[in-house]
Amino acid sequence: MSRARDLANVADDVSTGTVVTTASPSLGRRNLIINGAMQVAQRGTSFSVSGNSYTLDRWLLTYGSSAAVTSTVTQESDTPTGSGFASSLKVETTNTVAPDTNKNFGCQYSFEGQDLQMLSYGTSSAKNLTLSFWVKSSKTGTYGLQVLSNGKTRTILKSYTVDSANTWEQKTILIEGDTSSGIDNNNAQSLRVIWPLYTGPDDIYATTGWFANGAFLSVPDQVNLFDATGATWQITGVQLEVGSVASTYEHRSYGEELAACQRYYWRFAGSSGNGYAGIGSGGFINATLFNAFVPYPVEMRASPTFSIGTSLYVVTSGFPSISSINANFGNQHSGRVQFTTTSSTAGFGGSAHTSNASTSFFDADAEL
Amino acid sequence: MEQMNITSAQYSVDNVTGNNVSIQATIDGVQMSVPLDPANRHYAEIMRQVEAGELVIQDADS
Repeated sequence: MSRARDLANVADDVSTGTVVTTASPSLGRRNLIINGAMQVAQRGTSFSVSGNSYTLDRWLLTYGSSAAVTSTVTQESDTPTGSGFASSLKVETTNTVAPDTNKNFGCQYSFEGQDLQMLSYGTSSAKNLTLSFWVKSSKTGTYGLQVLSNGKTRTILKSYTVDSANTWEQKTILIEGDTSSGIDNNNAQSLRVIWPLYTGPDDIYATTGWFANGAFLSVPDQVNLFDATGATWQITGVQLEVGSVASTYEHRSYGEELAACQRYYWRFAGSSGNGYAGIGSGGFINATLFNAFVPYPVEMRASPTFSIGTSLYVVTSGFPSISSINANFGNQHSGRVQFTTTSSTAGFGGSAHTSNASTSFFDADAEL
Repeated sequence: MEQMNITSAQYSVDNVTGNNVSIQATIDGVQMSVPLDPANRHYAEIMRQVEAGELVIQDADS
């Protein structure tokens, strides 16, 4: 048997050191989820959520039909003991709302279609996926797990049970391949995995297997996290892998995870101590418009939306302050941004930068 | 899923060509500069709301 064949057939159980000859799970990169360990938090570590909100990188708190629920979402250092995780994402309710018609709320992760072509969805060879994660909640009971595919037209519903309150538990869920509908090979949103935390009665389905429905759904007996203020639901160690077997979590370095997140979002931010983040160099086309070339950390998924915080400046013959972004000429490779500033001089060169204030930042958002 | 709350939208122009290059929008209470890229989620939602008659993009300041 060749060395290559050996490697192809070997799966190494890292937790026990046992090496078994099986084709699954595969070696190499296994986890399709970016930031499954909740370690990257470019936007911040605490969020008041009352509408769709990206929180920790790649993790969206998502609403359906204007649900009235509100919560605080935080990055926490509370993790399962001995699991090797340093961070978790925590949702804590800040109001009480009864399940209502078709209103929903949950935690969502989504993928580009071009990253999931190996699943062969829409063919008889469609691959299974296995989702594993650690969860801890103040409320025991049944929770749904929804996977939406093919541009929000296909759904499969699964469930898991929180057995003990306020205790970390690891869950594993098999997601059968969808043989009926494919995934477009592009950079658009394709598969979404949603952990519902609040679901109205009109969106409760007992259907098993893939079916045609693009709505935000959950399963019978879905826990309503929002039946009390201060209820909590926490998650970390999220791994989605091809095949029918859950392997141990694939820990990746912070730098590797950060770079992967930056395809979707990055922030140049000021910080006390090491201060001023450069945004880009350029020149004044008139007294109050400064054009800056902005190199990105990585190529982005699409042309990004830009936004700024407060206390940004241009270093030129003086320090005119930046008040707004006047125009965005960026694409997915790099950006040219036209800032509106206080008065300077046409033709002068300079560079835009943040201050060392925590509110001083420049964001680029190409999320799904 | 929930739609974005877009309270204003106005085109920005290239000072050299005079062409529209992006949209200044207030989305969920945040001032954003949105590129004219259908793959950008903010632009896609702006255009969806325009087509639904829920939003009008103002012309750029002359």
